[in-house]
Amino acid sequence: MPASVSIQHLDKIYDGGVQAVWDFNLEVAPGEFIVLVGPSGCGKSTTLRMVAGLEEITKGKLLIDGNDCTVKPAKNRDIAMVFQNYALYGHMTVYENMAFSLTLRKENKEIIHRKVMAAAEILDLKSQLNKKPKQLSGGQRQRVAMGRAIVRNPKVFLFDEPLSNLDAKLRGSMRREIMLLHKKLNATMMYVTHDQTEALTLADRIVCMSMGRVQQIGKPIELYESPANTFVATFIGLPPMNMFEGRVEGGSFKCSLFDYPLNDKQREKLKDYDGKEVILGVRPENVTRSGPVKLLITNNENLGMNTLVHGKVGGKKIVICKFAEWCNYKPGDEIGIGFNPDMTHFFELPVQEFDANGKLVNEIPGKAIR
Amino acid sequence: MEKNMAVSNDILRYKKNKLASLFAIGGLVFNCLYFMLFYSINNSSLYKLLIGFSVVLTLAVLLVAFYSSESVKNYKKIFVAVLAVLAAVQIARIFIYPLQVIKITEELRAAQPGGEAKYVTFYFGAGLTPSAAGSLLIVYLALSAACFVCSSVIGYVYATRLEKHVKAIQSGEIDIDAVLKETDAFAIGVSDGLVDDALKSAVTEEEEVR
Repeated sequence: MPASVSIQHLDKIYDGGVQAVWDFNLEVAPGEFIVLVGPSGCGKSTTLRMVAGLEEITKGKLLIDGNDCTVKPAKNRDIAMVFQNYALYGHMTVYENMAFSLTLRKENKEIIHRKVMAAAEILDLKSQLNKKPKQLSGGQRQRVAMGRAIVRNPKVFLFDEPLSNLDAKLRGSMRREIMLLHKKLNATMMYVTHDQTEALTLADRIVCMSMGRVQQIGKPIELYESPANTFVATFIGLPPMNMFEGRVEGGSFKCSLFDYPLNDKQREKLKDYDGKEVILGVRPENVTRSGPVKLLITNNENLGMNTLVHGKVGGKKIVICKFAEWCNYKPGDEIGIGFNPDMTHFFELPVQEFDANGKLVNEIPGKAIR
Repeated sequence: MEKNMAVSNDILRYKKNKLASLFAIGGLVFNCLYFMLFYSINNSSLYKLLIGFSVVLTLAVLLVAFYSSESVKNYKKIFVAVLAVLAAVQIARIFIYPLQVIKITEELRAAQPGGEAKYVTFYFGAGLTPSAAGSLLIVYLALSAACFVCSSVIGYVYATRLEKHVKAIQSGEIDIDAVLKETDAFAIGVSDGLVDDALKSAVTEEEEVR
């Protein structure tokens, strides 16, 4: 039976006083696939390692299936972790690698065999069982690492950037395999990645992190369509969301580069911000090919199904547009662009926190205005 | 859990015969101990043909034993016979030197009563009389031979089991996949048969999404 995971007010402070994770809260339902996503150094792997028991929890509480595991040693948590570098034993065969944890537990040999064979069938590794890891490709090695986790029948599966060592093509196929695996096993999984494509395609819910703090937790579509702040808005989505700093004045959004008239719905949303500075965000695919904003084209990339157009607004602000049509703009062309009013986002300005010496210690991303 | 012979035999396809290999290595170790004692007894005297012969024989036994241990580990039946031959060689060696030592000791005892108490060598810090040294040499060779015999027998039994099992799979007499699924103790959240159903439904869903 898949287990629930409850992470309550988790903090991680290293010996030197560096705080890697701040007040992390998350309730994972049984069988849920949670993806922790964020840039390097945001604390996502540290959080996962705390759940695994590989890092000590400085403050907070961790419950796995209702049992307090905050100080429980890793081996008693009944979790299995798959690492980026596979962590396979080079001198053992695939079979022995997969059977290793069960052999340590002194399980019945027949049971071990059944479990290993069943896992090998699921992962399509039956023909590789007598090979050593060095004889396998990166994808096959990662499958062995997953097989080793599967045979243990753990309460929770933890994946720490398992696909980062693979090439783009293999990563795609392995991603699909992990999706299928989750469906087959219906297991609770926590997955760390910095790749938003993995996060968006795999997750039931995404936890987006930055600088050790949770920025937003939600379904992939929620993070994409309703980002909670400027960080999530720019981190999720490829190419990233275009952001313009400006001021709400007299029913329009005014920035140094252009004036953009607001419709009734937007005015209603921004009624408390009249005269205040805000950020307008628009995804490249929500930029339209006609409108009041002048774009000086610098690059035109035809990708077959769509065209990425890079340009500058007001001679400095770089804007990326994604048009569904095949375009043939040349560098130096100037076109008028607009923003799909139903798909524009408004954010408050980010807040910067400084220490006594005037050094920037934290930047709180601008909150979404809803 | 009831033992299923087909599954037990199937394990042999993926696991090496470490037990047989271990016994072969055991035989090799006792052979080394024998040679250490033999050399310590003969070290003080002038080098003679016996030492040269013994060195060559020991090296040969070591090399063949090691190669055989690796081979029986991989269920190579021919090396079962090699190990049996090695066991015979070790038994034969008992009659070449160790029994001679004991015989000479007996003769010495008859000619000079009390003479046998004189230490012939020091071995691992303990003084050994000629009769004790001779007996220990016999014990080492006997243990070495016994290990080779065990290795040979175990190697034969497992290699035969595996051979029969592979033949049965190849002839279709046993469908090992079906056997594994019939009595599936795979408790990873998916019970018997459901693995396939879950896989099919997952694949169908994925195709629909595509």
